Amino acid sequence: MKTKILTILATLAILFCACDEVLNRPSPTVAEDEAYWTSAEKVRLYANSFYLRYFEGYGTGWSHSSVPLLDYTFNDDGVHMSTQGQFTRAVPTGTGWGDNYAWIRKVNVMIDRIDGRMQDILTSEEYSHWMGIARLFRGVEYSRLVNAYGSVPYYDHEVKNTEKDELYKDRTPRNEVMDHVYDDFEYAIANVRLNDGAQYINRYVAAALVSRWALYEGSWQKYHYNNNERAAKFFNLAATAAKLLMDSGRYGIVLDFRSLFGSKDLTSSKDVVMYRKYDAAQGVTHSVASYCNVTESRAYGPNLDLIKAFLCTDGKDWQTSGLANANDFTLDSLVKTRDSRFEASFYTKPVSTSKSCYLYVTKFISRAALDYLKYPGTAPAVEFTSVNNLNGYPELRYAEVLLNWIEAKAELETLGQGAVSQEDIDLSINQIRSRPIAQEAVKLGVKATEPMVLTALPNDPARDKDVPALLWEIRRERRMEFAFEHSRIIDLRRWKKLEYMDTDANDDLLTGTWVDFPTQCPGDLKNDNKGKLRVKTAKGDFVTYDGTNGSKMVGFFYPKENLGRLPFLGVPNINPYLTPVGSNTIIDYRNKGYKLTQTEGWPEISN
Amino acid sequence: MSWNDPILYGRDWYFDGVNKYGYRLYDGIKAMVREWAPTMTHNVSINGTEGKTSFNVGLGYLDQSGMTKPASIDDFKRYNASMSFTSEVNKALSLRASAIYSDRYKRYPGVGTTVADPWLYLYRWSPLFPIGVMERDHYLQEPAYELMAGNTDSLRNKYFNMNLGFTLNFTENWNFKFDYTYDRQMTDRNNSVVYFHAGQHWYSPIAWIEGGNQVYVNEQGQVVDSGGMPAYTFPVNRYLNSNISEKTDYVRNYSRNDDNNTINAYTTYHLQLGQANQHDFKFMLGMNLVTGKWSSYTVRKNSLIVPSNPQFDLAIGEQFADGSRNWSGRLGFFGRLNYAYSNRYFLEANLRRDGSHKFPTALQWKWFPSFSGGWIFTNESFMEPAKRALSFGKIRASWGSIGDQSISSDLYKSILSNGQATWLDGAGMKVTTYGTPSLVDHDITWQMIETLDVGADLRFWEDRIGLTMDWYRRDTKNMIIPGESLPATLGASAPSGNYGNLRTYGWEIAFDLRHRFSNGFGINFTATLADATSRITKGADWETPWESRLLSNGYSTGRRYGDIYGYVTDRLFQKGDFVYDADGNLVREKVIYRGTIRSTNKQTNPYPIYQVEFEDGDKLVCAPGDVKFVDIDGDGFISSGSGTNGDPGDRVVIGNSTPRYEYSFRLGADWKGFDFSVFLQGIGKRKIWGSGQLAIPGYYAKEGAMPKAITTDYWYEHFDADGKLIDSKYDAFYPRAWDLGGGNTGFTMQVQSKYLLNMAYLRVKNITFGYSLPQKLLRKVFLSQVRAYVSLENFITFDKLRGLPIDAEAITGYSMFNTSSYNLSRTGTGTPVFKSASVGLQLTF
Repeated sequence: MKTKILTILATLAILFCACDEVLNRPSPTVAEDEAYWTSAEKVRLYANSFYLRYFEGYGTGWSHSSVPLLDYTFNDDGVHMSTQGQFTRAVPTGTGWGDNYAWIRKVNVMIDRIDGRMQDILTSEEYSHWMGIARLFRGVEYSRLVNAYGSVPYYDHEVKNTEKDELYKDRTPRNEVMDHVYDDFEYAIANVRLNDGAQYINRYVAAALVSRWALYEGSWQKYHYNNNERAAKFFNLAATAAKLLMDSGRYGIVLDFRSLFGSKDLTSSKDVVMYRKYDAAQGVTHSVASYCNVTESRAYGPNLDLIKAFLCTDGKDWQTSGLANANDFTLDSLVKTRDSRFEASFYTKPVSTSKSCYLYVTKFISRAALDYLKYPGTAPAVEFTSVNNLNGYPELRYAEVLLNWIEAKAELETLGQGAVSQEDIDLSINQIRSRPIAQEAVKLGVKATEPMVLTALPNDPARDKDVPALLWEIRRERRMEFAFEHSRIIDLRRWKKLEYMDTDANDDLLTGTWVDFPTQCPGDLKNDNKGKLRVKTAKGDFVTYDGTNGSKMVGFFYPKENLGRLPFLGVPNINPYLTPVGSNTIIDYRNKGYKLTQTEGWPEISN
Repeated sequence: MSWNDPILYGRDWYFDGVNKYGYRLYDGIKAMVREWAPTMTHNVSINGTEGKTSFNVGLGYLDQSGMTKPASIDDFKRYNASMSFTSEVNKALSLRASAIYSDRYKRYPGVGTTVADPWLYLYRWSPLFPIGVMERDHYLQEPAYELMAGNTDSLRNKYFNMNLGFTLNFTENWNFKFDYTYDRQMTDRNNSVVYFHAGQHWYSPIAWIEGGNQVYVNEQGQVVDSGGMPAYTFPVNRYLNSNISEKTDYVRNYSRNDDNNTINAYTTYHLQLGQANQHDFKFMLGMNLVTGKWSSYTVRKNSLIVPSNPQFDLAIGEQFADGSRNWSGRLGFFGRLNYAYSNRYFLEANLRRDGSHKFPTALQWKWFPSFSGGWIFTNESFMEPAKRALSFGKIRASWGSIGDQSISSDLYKSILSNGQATWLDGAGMKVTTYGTPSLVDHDITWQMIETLDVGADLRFWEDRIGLTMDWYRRDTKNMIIPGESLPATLGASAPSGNYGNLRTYGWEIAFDLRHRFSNGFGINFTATLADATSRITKGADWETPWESRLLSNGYSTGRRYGDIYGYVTDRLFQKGDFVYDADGNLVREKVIYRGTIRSTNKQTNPYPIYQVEFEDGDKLVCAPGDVKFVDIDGDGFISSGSGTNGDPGDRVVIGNSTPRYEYSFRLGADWKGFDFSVFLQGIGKRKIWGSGQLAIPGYYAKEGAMPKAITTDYWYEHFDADGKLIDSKYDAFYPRAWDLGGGNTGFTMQVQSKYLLNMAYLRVKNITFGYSLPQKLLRKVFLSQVRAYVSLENFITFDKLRGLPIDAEAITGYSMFNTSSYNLSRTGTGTPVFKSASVGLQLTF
């Protein structure tokens, strides 16, 4: 009996002693903030999560938020077979700042930890590099915010949830924010490693991003705020950053245009500064090329305004060009007379699958993918349908750097700082124009465009009178180079030229390509299309197909469904250039005893 | 035409060069669901007693066929065995041991993902999309084909539980009990993904070419030599289901083992004092200990060389491995005192101290007291005269507090979540990423549940009729909820902490009756009814003035839990509500709303109520057939205000998502070997705003599927080519057709009173009819019982969903693999509740 009791008591005693062991059970697999920051490799793993934010490429699977063709349809390059996308017309109730501040928080944590906990862990080289990477991310993130909202609350450190005054502070003036961005950018391009291994950000990637965002800010300062001093500061930064790549000797213009977008691996190409690669074995594929396979029908495509913007091969605009067929808008003629990027960007026959305009964008798919079109009764290969696409995207390419550089130089010239020389033009625009032309294109008669000559710039009758001829041509070069990529709407906004999107002022925005139905698309002249097909003749008259007038169906394709956008310029309390903050956000600040100023040009809440 | 007749160009569909047009309705249910499936169950149980030792052995087997028609194998098997043994070694010591083993094995057609399966697709696409049919000699890309062509996946769960215990009797009134349980749960899931080979009707068709020549067909789909139209066909491709995020074929195995140890030990001392021992005391002291550990791994190998035999040895591609593990611990000590006075008055006091590993060290331990008292007043002498009518009566009251630690483990730690990004590094591998450290409240501790309960148990007429009533108030204190919402500039959502208090008031009534009439006819009946409502007594926004608290915060201080804020539907706009010009077009006018000029349709009402908040001034403008709301605040605009209690605009509480008035009835009767029982269950009141195409009219035109209840009852007018009205439905329940593009709200389909789903229902869950053979016959064949029965499950349901194909009882987003987000969390797209009829025979030896 006694022994039994003792046994029990002993058992219990053991159990009681085991308390600590029972309750002290930290998760073995999680990374705690307190213990995480122990090596440069850990910083790299943290930094890895930023890549897809800034280099989304063609997206992943079906999901995409800022990819070419699919997400950049709001500008003056394309037409929807429907009402065109509208500018924000009223202050929304809900949305605040989007998710930008989540990224600001993320990068500020990175900076705080590197600075606060890793001074003794990192070598000074590692410290400079990773601090440079972090400050690059922060600069880009604030640049995006400022680009959308103007002035925004600025934080250079991790804000705690208990710091109410900080969280609810009003906007920091734009210039103050952008001065911080300037400092971050300067630090980044001075400290990021020249080489950090393939597919990782190095100093050239940083400098390419800096040239982009500094150029944007310079233009905003010049055209919106008339602050030439600040404009020059950012244009100079853009030019310096771009020059860093140009002087490195690592980059060049060596690939034909289409190969830039349709290839599977350009990670080590001289044309590409940063590249997103795809691989089915890793489960990383996309769906953008599926919308370029000519079979997939598209309700959005290039408009006549973009077609007309393409330069003729003699280096002149279509109206002043000396080429015999410059004003012949049939696709066969356009292919031969226009800059080689035209043929590389579009399918060379009018097709009904591009429902709004009959011109089909094929820029983001390989040429070989479209071989099936030669054989009737065949379909695109699986790789070019659904989410099975494998071509990679050149996130940052050397051509952009060159165009950023020459634009910054030309803008600086207008501000009285230096002059653009023919040598500068040769180094930039003419280097791009001399890029190789694909064999398939040569067979179609595509030729390289003549070099730009500073003393003999085209005298484009369509030129905006307040834009100098050189800048006009630089902007045209950007438009041809970046059609359906990220920059067009940003360009229009920074140049203060949103009037280019006014469909009431320019019918070309709603017009498609030239189609000679009886010869090019006779199959489409069928009963089902009665009352549906419509063209605008050279004289400007509309002809709608009625079942019998097939022979008259020659002109620019212009379906009735292509409708203009509502007026957005000069409308009280609408500022199409900047995004308003949701009224509920402003009310929330007020309710908490703080004040958040509404974006300039938008009304404070009135009820 | 039969439901599975091959699809023919010209008859069933047509292509105009850009768009495809379907002319045939396909029957997905016929293609995918078996009408009936057999199930088999066998149970054997043996028990016996030998001296002071007794034992029990049980064996069971279940074989159930699944309902997936195209699948080669779809079944579920369960084997289980149990044994227990108790032995009184001597007066002081008795021993006990038991073990349970079960093996559940499910085989099912693999679709490569568990977050969206064919049940979603059955209801997602329009019936114009082919399903269950072939085109000439090939299959088409559709869920029925994929279920047929995929491999069979399997999920096996084995469970083993062993219990050892003893009781030590020190004296007659003092004992000590000890039980130790070890259990292990093993999960093994095998799945594989293969390439399919079928016609792709999702993409553009191609010309149908035979021997280099275009094929022509007539409108019956027959091939013709002359005349007819050029035929198209669906291109046949090798493809993967696009839900396969791995983008390749593979074989994968997932394995998980959970081990748990439980110890319960307590000692009890029984003390009786006074005359006739009317003072009865019981003292108890004890402890519980629960520890657990689990680990899991997933391995995958790409590229199957024999697709129909997915084995790791027969795969040649990339290999991937992943795994995780964790552990947990809980420890508690308790003391209890019971006192009873001559079987009339009862008192109990309890004190627990519990510790859990889920909280920071300083906050791991907490005290939890509880008390209760009862009075069996029918044992009082003064109640003797009433004993015939009231055979038993007890009133009781209790108050107690217990701890709740049902939260995730690392809530108080700032953690960087790790993962892989689809950014490929220089070697072509996905990069590993660590995310932003989570913003946390470091002081996370126990949630406390305090319950005050008053109740009575009454039995009448020799216990034939019983009534149990309870009223309770339950306070959940220090509930872990998200903190007060902070501005977006924080860059993270506010951390969760013990910020909330919730108070629930509820009551329960249960009634039962049993009686056997003199002719042998017996009946028994039970009914239950319960209701509870909860209110947030303290939310994270308790410091915010009431008028500034957000409507969108479900845990706002003072809010009733589950309240749905929305607009009050007035009716549909009709043509008479608007002004038309001479050509019959709607006249526009400009109004200023919140500082911006808005263009909207002019109304005939001299005091119009504008709904410009939902309009875009372009196409999205209220017109005849759209929903008209009630202007609650009378300002001439329908508005969402600023979304706060003080400025809700025109939104009010229009319903509550909490199930209310849960009730059930069970009626049984037996007579001369026949037995009958029926069980009904239901909910009296519950409203939700649905999600997805089965609940929301116009949810997503692109996807196509719409319930008939919506397509046959919406506002429309049809005109002929000359603009003459030929058909209309102005008195429809649903508004003018509008595509919400995949949104659960949009334009005038805002959360509103009329289109809330009424989830109240009554379901006949079971009807059983059985017959047992008379005992006399059985003795000769050494059987003690033979019973045959017919059982009907879920045969009849009464609901108020107006014919929408939604099961009022199903939980949105839940499946056997996923506790949330399953099938895009769309209402009604879960695995359906099947009606089942079964026939059985029970033999007892």
